[in-house]
This record gives sequence, structure tokens and C-alpha cells, in this order.
Amino acid sequence: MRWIIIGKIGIYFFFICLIIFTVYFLIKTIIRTKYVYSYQRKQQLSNRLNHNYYVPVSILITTHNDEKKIEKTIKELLMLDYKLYEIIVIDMASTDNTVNKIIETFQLEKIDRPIRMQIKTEKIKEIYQTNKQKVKITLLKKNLKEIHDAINAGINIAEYPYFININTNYHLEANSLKKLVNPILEDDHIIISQGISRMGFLDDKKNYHFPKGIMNKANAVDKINKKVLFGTDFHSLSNDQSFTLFQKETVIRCLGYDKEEIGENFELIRKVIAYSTTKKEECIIKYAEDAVCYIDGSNMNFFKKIRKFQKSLLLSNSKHKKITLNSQNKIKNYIQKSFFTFYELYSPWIKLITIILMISAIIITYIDLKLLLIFLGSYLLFHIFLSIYNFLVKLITEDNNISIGLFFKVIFIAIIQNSLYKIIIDTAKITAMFGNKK
Amino acid sequence: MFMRCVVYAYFLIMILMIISSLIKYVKNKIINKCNQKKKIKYKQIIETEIKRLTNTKWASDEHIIFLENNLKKIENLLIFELLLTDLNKEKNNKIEEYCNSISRAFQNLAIYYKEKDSTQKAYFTHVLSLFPALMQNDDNSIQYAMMHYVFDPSIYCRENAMLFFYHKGIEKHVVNSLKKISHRNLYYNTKLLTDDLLLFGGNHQKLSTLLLSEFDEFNMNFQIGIINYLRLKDNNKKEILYQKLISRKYHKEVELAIIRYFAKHTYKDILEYLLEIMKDKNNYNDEYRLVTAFTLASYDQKETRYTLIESLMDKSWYVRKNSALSLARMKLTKAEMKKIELLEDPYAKDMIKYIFHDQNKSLEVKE
Repeated sequence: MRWIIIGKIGIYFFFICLIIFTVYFLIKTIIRTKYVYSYQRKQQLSNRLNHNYYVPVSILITTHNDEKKIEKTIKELLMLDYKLYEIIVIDMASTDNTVNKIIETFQLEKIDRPIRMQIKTEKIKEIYQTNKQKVKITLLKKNLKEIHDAINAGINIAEYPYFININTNYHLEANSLKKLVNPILEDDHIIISQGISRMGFLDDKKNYHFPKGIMNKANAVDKINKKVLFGTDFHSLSNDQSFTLFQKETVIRCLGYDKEEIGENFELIRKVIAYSTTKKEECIIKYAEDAVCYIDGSNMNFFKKIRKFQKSLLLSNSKHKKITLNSQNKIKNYIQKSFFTFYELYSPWIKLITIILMISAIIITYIDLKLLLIFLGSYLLFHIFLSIYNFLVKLITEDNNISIGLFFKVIFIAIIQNSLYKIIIDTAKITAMFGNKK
Repeated sequence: MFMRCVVYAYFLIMILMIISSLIKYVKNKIINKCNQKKKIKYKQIIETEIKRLTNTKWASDEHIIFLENNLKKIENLLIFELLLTDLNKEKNNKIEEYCNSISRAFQNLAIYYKEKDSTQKAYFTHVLSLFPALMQNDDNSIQYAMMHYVFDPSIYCRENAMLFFYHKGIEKHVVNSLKKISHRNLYYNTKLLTDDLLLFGGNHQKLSTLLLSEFDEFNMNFQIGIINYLRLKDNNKKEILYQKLISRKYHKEVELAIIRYFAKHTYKDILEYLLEIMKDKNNYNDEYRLVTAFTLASYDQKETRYTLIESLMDKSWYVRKNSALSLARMKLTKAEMKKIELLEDPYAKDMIKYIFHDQNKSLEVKE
């Protein structure tokens, strides 16, 4: 009897949470839509504001057995509409032709370059360099397939005060770097400038194309949905792959990546924020919402990727508990962190417990199955609508073309995103708590 | 029953939202099409007016009124700017004449946009900066408006407003505006300040003299920007800057900027001071030494080379690097080359070898 009462309380609690979330998302969507449209107008005018201000940036690319993609990635980077940057490729013990391809295609020569080891890393096997291309290209050959070590080595050798960290799955638009650097024009004390990463790509006629694979498509819709809903509220805390510019000096003071980290930007962002919080220094983060890079997720095992990211987020969360996003508004800071923790870390567990409760409630037959199905079905339909709506808002504000085919595709993907995709995501997040740390 | 009402209400709201976004999409498409037509219409009007200007200097009153009424909408100003940019590529001189002839309209628009939000103000000043001829015959209305724009929160607005003063070429106005921005602690990127000062349309000597005479009125960022500008434009301020450097009353970054000035404009009296910086590690930290090591490349003398060779063994990686870079630019004697080759410090050896190789210089001593 006691268990039935507990079960009932649990179910009612779940229903109330669902209703609260639904109302919250609805209001948030309406408010955010207004902001997104006014931001679009601002961007239309801001895009016409040209300047010749360039901040020197080092682009770090980690690579392992990427002979098919590396040449194209470097060529794309050489086409950036930017004047002051360098490219540093860090090869992590590739066994294929990756290194030779880079050396031959871009005419690199072997050099003995002294490196200042500001962050301790394993030895670099060989260094190659060229000044014959549009910008300097440096290739570091490492013996280890340790991504944290590779990026730290790249940071050591980087000559410029800012850097970005990408891999061969990233595709930058010609003006992505310029837009990412724009916030520094307004304040040169910025430590982190965060852009947006998106699955898929844009063609020359501004038509958006989804990435390959149904889960990647659902991920693309999910990302856009979150972006429209939450804006930059949790941008810094989120474990999405991101397009981020870091100030090198601060990252060096934090000693770069740790051994158990997977080399994603979100780990470094949290580390830098936590470091600044501990030192009681201001960590100035700005968001360059129009700086977009597209990610090709076609060859990623989706489930494994989510598990990996979630493990890393849990580890990062436990290591860096003291994070202050907004030192001026402590209440807002507390609410943001709490909501994020609940939404990203604990919600899969709450859903799992609720499913168990609902199944037991159905078995014990104290709940009307028909009513339950209607309620859950409505909730699901509501979120499908929300995904479709937010996706359309994003496309409209970015002046992309919407064909009828794309519209129906979005509907289909939104259904998958709110059903199968969420089940896979939540399962991956739950199972991430078990198994090996790395 | 209640639940059903709630569910239906949700769906109704969602469907309405989706319909509204689709309507917005269609509306955007229609607006884009209308803008295309507007662009064609504006083009015809402007081309007609340009043809008329072959016989007269000033645009007609009807055209001025047309511009004043239409360009008050920011969307129309955007179309106008895009159109002028395209026409400028085709017609070149004629666009400048045209802009000159319609400057009356922009005097009134400058006052109008003064009351608008930062983004619109920034965009308006951007249009003025793209076509300076629009401000040519200013009856002080634009100048008056710009005095407000320079204090706007938007950095784009401030910068573009300052461009007005730079283009005008009156040093007193430039210096007064910069002083006011500095006093209000409004951010002005150092590099941008330097680049913008270089665009000054008047006498640079007068500008640099006035800037230096008011130097202490500016905050640190502005002082650095000014020194960087002097480095690029004026080599006659050596004595004044030397005195400022040795007074030691300025911020470290300002002093470093002055030291960099002397990398480009050599001054014999400063050499002793620079060598003292390299030797006196107690009073001058790594940053001073690394900038000085770089500067010493312009002072190719025996004592300089000796000091730089010693600095190859400095504890700071950057001091070693800059010392090597400077040595690579100097004419070293055989004895000095031998000394470098026989250095025992492995870090010094690695650095010098790499730098000489990178600069395509030989480290071998030739008999």
C-alpha cells in the first residue's frame, strides 16, 4: 500500500514536472523567437560593418589516420577570409599516409625548432614546417595517440596569443574565423569567444543540407532546438562540440588538457572558468552567435560519441565544481547552473525512474492507461511541434531557403528526434556512468 | 475535460506558431522581392540624377526630399548603400560627385539617426565612412551629430564617428574627441586607434605634436595607440619620447611601446639605456628585456652584439628568441660567430641554430 502511494506521488510529480516544463518551453520559445528575429536584423546591419582588424590566431588540428580528409581540411583553412593566422597539425601516431600526404602536398621541410614547454607533454618525434603557403603550416609528429597530449603540444608551439582547436570533421566558412574574433574588437580582455557548431552544411545557394545518418540529422535538429530555446544560457556549460577561440596565456596557466580528458573544447572551457573562479579573476566569455562551423558527423558511432561526451562531462563536473558564469549576478548564476545540472545530468535518470513507476502503475492498474497514453502522446506531439518550429525560425532568421521537401524532412526528423533519438541519448547518458572512466 | 482543454490549447498555440513562422518566411521572401524592385527603382532615380549633375553641381530639391524621406528607414538605407557600392565599381568618379551633391540630405539624416538605437547609428556612420563625400559640405550638422555618436556604447558607431573627424583633417577636433572618449573610459581598441589615426586627412606633424602635448590626458590604452601611430608616422619625436621613457612615470605597457618606437627610429642617446635594461634584471623584468632585445637589432654595434650574445643564455625563452632574431639581422665578426658557435648552453645553441636557419643565415664561420 505504501508503495502504491509512493508510486502515485511519483507519477503525479512526473505529470506536474511535464506540465511545468511544457509551459516553460512554450513561454521561453515565444520570448526567444522575438529575440532571434531582432538579432537577425541586427546581424543584417552588423554584417555590413567592415573593419581591417585581425587578431593573430593559431589553428590547431589533431589528426590520426585521416589521409582522406586532411588535405581537404588544410586547403579549406588556407581559403579563410583572414589575414593573420597559422595552421598547426598534430599527428597522433598515424599508421597510414597522413603525414606524407601533408608533407608532399604542402611542401613541408623538416626543422629543429626549439619549443617552450609551458605545458608538460611527451616528446615530439619530428617537426615539419613551411612558409611557402598563404600562412605558416607546422606539422608535429607524435608517437602517442593521446589527444590531450597532442593539443597541449600544439598549444606549446603556437606562436599567436589566441588559438582554436578543431579536427578534420570541422568545416569552417570563409568568414567564420573573422566572426569568431569580432568580440575581441569590443574587448581585448576576452578569454573565450564561443561560436556555434552545427551538424550538416550549407551549399553555395544558402540551402541547408542535413548530415548523413538519421541520428546525426536528429542531432542537428536537437542542437538547433536547444540553441533557439536557451540561446547562450548554457553555452559555456554544454558538452556539445563547439567552435571556440581561447586566449593562449590563460589556458597555459590552467595547464591545458588533463590526461583523462578527451580533447573537446567544452572541457577546456569549464577548466578555464573554474580556474578563474578559484583565482577570483574575471573570465570574460563572449558569444559570437554568427560564427558558425559545420561538423561532418557521418563517420561517428553516435551512441559511443554521446557516451564519451557524457562521461567527460561528468568527470569535468566533478573536477570543477566551482564555476561562476556570471560574477555580477549570483542568483542568475545559481539558477543557470542548477537548471543545467538538472536538465543535462539528472533528467535521464528521472525519466528512467518515471518509466518504471508508470509501468508498475499500469500493472497495478491504478492509472488509466488510455489517459496516460493521451497525455504522453500529447507531450510528445508538443515537442515535435516545438522542434519543427525552432528549426524553421533558425532557417528563416539565417535567410536560408526552405523547400517543401526540406519542410517534410524536418517533420520526419523531428519525430525521430523526439522519440528514438531521445531514448538513445538518455540510454547513452545513463550507461555513461558505468564502465571505464575513459 | 480539463486535461483535454489544456492539450487542445497547446496544440492550437503550436499550430499557430508554426503557421506564423511560415507566414514570416513568405513575408521575408516578399520583402526581399520588393527590395529588389526598390533597388532597381533607386538605381534609375540615382542614374537620372547623376546625368543631371553634368550640368549642375547640386542635386535637385526633389531628389534631396526623396532621399531624406526614404532613407529614414534603415532597410532603405541598406539598399541605398548596397546600390552605391555596386555603382561605385562601375562609375567611380561620378559616384563621388553624386555623394557630394546630396550631402545636404545626410546632414538632416545625421540628426535624425542620432535618436535611433546603437545598431542603426553604427550602420549610418558606416555608410558615411564608406562614402566620405557625403560629409563634404557639412554645415556643422554632421559634426554636431558625430560629437554624440562618439560616445555611443557601440564600438562600431564610435569608430565610424571618429572616422568623420579623421577625414575632416582638423587635429584639434580629433584630439578633443579622443580625450573625451578616454575620460569616459569608453573602450577603443589600441590597434584600431593606431590604424584610424593613420587615416587622418590633415597634417600628421601637427596632429602628432598636439597628441604628445596632451599625452598625459589620455588613459593607458590611448597612450599606447598614440605611440604606435607615432612609430609608423613621425620620426621627429625621439627626444620627447626618450624623456618620457626615462622618467619612469608611465605604465609598463606604455614604456614598452616607446621602446618599440626606437626599434624603428634609432636614437643614439637611448642605446645606453637599452643596454642597461638588458643587464639590470632586478629592475627590468622579462617583458622589458624581450622587447629591448628586439629593438637592439637597429643598433648594430660591438657592445650591442656582445650584450645580445650574452642574452642568448637568458632564463626567458622569449628573450633568447628575440636576441637570436636581432643577431641574425646584424653583421657579426668572425670572433663573434665563433663565440656563438662555441656556446655551451644547449638552449641557446638550439635557439640560435633554428633562428639562423629560419632567416637563411649561415652559422658557420668562414675563414
